[in-house]
Formats: sequence, structure tokens, C-alpha cells
Amino acid sequence: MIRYLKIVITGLLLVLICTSGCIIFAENSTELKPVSAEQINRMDAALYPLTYLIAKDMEQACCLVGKTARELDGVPTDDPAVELTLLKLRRDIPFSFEAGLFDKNDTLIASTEDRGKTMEIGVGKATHHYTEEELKAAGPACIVSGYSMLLHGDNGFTFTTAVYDAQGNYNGTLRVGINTWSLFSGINEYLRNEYGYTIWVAQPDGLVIYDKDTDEIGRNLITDELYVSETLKDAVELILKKESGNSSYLFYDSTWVNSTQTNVVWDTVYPGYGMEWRIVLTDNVPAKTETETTATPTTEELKSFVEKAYVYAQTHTKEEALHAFNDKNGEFINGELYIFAYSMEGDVLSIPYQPGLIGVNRWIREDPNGIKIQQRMIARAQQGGGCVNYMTANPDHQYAQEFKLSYVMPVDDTWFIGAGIYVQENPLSQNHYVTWTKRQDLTYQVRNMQYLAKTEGIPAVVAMINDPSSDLQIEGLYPFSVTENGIHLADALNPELAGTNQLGMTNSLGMSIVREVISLAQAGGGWMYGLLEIPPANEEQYVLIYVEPIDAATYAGSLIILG
Amino acid sequence: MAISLVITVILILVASLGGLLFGASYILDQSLSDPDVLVHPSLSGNDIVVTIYEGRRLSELMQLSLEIEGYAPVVKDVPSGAKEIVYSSVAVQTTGTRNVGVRGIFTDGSVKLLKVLVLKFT
Repeated sequence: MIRYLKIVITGLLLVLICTSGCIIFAENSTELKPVSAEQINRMDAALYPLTYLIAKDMEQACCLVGKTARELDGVPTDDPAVELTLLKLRRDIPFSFEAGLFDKNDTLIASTEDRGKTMEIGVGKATHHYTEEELKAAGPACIVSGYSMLLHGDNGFTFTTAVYDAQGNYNGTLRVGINTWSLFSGINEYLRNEYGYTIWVAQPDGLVIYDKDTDEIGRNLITDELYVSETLKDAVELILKKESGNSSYLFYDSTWVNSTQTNVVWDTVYPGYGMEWRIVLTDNVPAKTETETTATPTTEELKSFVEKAYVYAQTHTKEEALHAFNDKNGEFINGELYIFAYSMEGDVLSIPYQPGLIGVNRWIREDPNGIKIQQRMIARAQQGGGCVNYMTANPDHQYAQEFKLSYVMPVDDTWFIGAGIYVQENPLSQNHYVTWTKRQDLTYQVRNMQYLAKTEGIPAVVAMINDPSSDLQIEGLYPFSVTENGIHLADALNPELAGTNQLGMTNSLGMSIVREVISLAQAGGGWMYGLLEIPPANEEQYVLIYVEPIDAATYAGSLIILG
Repeated sequence: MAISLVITVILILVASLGGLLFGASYILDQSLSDPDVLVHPSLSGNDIVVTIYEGRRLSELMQLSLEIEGYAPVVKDVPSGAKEIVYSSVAVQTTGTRNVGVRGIFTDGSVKLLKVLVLKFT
């Protein structure tokens, strides 16, 4: 009997070993399909104009930085002209975060950033140190840093150039923080919508500085455990070694479960002294197809679903609640509805269909139009809860980027929950996209109001907003200004609102756009969606809004109507 | 004899500890699973909406008092079966971050703090 058992057990072990070998072999034996020369040519034809554009943008930005540095040579730090010069530079580079002046010891001495928010004047230190010799070696070009953490917890890179005193001696540096998401996402949206392509961008050391999926940004292609596929390793080695070329590899598709062949072409951009980027164009955007889905839940059904989870979270321990929310077979899954949960710092606590993201911090997660998704959710939760709009991938439509409406509720001061539905009638779900030039126009217009408020005064800016023929106006954009107390100083879309308090104005989703604008401006500014009644028909339409603080109590913004 | 005494003391200690843990767990579980009334306030424009969910004393709830830091409390009747109470215009020109509390007034005259949270008005 025992001998019989030993034979059976040995046999089972042998089967297991052989099967494991077959499984491993099967994973490695998937062959890449050849790619036609015609397809490569098509991809190259889409890529090369854009690499030229990126290179030109970088050249122009660097020229502006250099020109500004020469304006600041010999100017005492406490001269009011310094702040104005930095504001003008920030305005003229729409994809920048902030501009700052640093002394020879890399200490911040002047900045466009609201003082005290993250870097204190006289205390804050620059991330990267450059010697005078390195700055001289760059000549008229700017030194471009590697990708790293900047102010406000944002990530990006800096342009740096030397500044001199009145005698021509080296006196410190002028640095501009550049938002790589803002720089590349518009181009990516253009490629995705027009061609079905996307891009990712990497430094020669393998660091990913842009990807359509923000969770991949900051990972290293060479060392990160996410990039283990043999074909991918081979392709990465080629991409990082050669300035241009084409290749293919196997990598996860949008499900992050299945892998698929991705074909790439790439080229190199030299954004400034000391850096080069590989701009990699991929063809892994599947055509959007409609799969059979159940009817989309209504906003009321969405709210009820989240409230049910809220009651559960309030009547169970946090661990019990998160376990229930993460259970794909549990009561908190209903068609397209599921409960997500985040800490108030942006850490993923519950996300049942992407368990690999639990524990990941998504504070800097942005949608294609610059909306910081988690930050908008947190701000809404801190108002007691409500609706939040953003774009994200829809699994029912081949992970196409679509407009989503989520309802969030705070459980306590440390975490919140929510759920969302896709809004198909929004133009952004229908292959309409905001071009990167329009987004740059919006940014420029608002930052121009910031600059003009300092040079001409707020009343002058108010007058310019109200004057349809002023130099401030840009076709298709509607500037406005509000105070911290909710008073409309001016509104190009609804001039009759000037002088009125609109804190109480809510839309059909119960959102107070003015409170959202003030909240965003007080956080340093940024992007948001709104649902507004648009004259003359006064029908509600979605808009994209960009806001910035003008001073501590006054804010400027502008909007574009979507669709 | 001494050994018996030691064993008895140990048994008493273990039983007490177990009772303490069980008791504490019972109290914690009861407070989580059986709130007097579960409510939640949220901001909508200039209004604060207090949503009423469930609770073992729900049928006894007569009034809700909304207390915003820096302002006088506002008391509203709670009709039987009401799911939400809207405090209209209570947040007019209210900005910044403030503590907000909701107190329940019950049929027996008792007053209980049901919810406290920090709300960001802007």
C-alpha cells in the first residue's frame, strides 16, 4: 500500500515538474510577428514631425530662459522687477511649473511660487547642484536636469542657466521647473485620436519621464520588476543604445493581465545641455469598439451605491470595509460600479479590478487634460463629498480614454470612498479632444492675467476681461476673475455676473463651480472640469477650466467649452 | 496547596483578561455596528445637506442641530422618515476650513453628538 502511494506521489510530482516546464516554456516561446515596412513608415511619418516640434519647443523655452537670465544680471533680488520678470517667463513657457532664482549656494532667493507653500525664500535648496564650470560648459544652452521631484510634490525636470552680478561674476542660477506631463500629454492625445498611436519618453538611463499611464512614470526600464519580458528587455537595450530605429516587444495591454505585441519606432530629442530623450511611438491603441454593456447607472443610482458603502464603512472596522470593497465577488460590485478607496494623501486602499495598485500613491495622477484626479477627489471629499469629473480608461470600450463622473464621500478625516460611471454624451468620450495648442493658450491667458495684475493692477485686468476687443482675449476662451469670498469681479462668458456672489450657484450635479475654482486656486492653481449653463440657451455644457491665484484673495481663470 | 493557589490565581487572571477583551470588543463592535443615528453632512453651494441613514434610535430622532465653528447652531425638525435635512443658505459667504458637528435631539430629551468632521468650504 505504502509502496503504491510512493509511486503515485512520485508520478504526481513528475507531472507537476513537467507541466511547470511546459508552462515556462510556453511563456518564452511566444514569437513576435514581423512588421511590414509600410507600417514602420507610417509610424515614422507620425513621429518625426512631433520630435521636431518637441525639439523646437525646448529650444524656444531655453532661449527664453537665457534671455531672462540676461535681464536679471546685476539686478538686486529685492528689486520688484525680479518678480515681474519671473512671472513673465512662467507665462511664456505654458508647460512650466515655477521659475526661481537661486544663489551660488543653491539657496532660493526669489520665486514665482506662493512663498511658504513648499520652498521658503532663503531656506529652500535646489534639487540639482551645478558647478560654475558645468554652467560655463553649457554655453548659451540651458542645462537640462534628469527627471525628479520638484515643488508641490510634482515631478518634472528643470532648465538651469547662470546669472551674473553687475561686474559679470557668477552669482547663481535661474531655474524653471518643467511639467513633463503638460509637455507630452497634448501630443499624446493628438496621436491617440488622429492615428491610434501613443508615445512614451525615456532618458538614456532607462528612467521613464512620460507615459500615458502615470503609474509608469518614474519607473526604470532597466531595473523595475514590471519590465521583465525578454522581448521588452531586448527592445529597451536597443532603444537606449541607438538614437533611432524600430522594434517590437511583448508587454501588458490595458488590462495589465494579458500581454500583447507592441511595435515601436523611436527618435531622439536633445532638449538642452546634458540630456537626451528617446521619444518612442507605439501602436498599441486598439480601435474603440462598443461591447455589450448594461445600461449606465444614473447619477442617483451611483450616489446610492456609494452611500451604501459609506454606511458599511461606518458600521465596520476599516479593515473589514476595505476587505469587502476589494472583493470582486462581493456585494460592492454591481455591473460597472465598484468601490474605490484612497487615503487623503492619495494612497490606493481599494480598487478591486487592479489589486496590484493597492498601496501605490497616485497623488500626481493626471488625466490627459491636466486634471489631477486624486487631488480633485480629495478636495471634493473634504467638502463632505460630491461629484468629480475626469477622463480615464473605459475597460468596456477597449480602454479608450472617456469622461467619467465619480461620486466620493469621506469616511473620516483620513480616507474616502467613491464609485464612478462613464458619461458617453460628453464630447471627450466621442473622440473629441482639446488640442495642446488650445491648452497652452488657456494657460498663457490666465498667467498673462497674473502678470498684468502686477504691472497694470487688478482693475485693469477686470476691464480687459470685460472688453471683448482687449489684447487679453483669445478666440474660444472665456476669462474670468473671482475673489476668495466668491464675488465675480468679471466674467467674459456671463458679464452680468460681475459684482455678484456666486458661491451658492450649483449645477445639476450639486457642484458649486465657484467654490471648486477658489479651492483649486488656493491650492496653487491647475485644471478642472465644470458643468455650466452656457448662454444664450443656458443649457448645461461641460467646460475645461484653468485657474491661478493673482494674489492671496483674488483668482483668475479661463475656460473653453467642450465639444 | 501553594501550587493550587497559583493555578487558581492564574485562571482568575486569564478569565478576567478574556472578559476585559471580550467586553472591550463588544463595546467597540456595538459602537460601530449599532450607532444611535448615522448621519453625514456635506456642502452643496451655500447649503449643508445632512443625510440620515440608519441607527437604533432613528425612530426617536426629533431634531438635528447643525453646528458650524464660529456660527450659532441651527436646529431643524426631522419629519418622520426624512432621509435628509437641508440647511439652506447656512454657508453663505462661509469660506476656509471649519469644524462641523451634528447633534441629535431625541424624544426623551437627550442630546447626542452624532457626527463631527472638518469641512473645507473653499
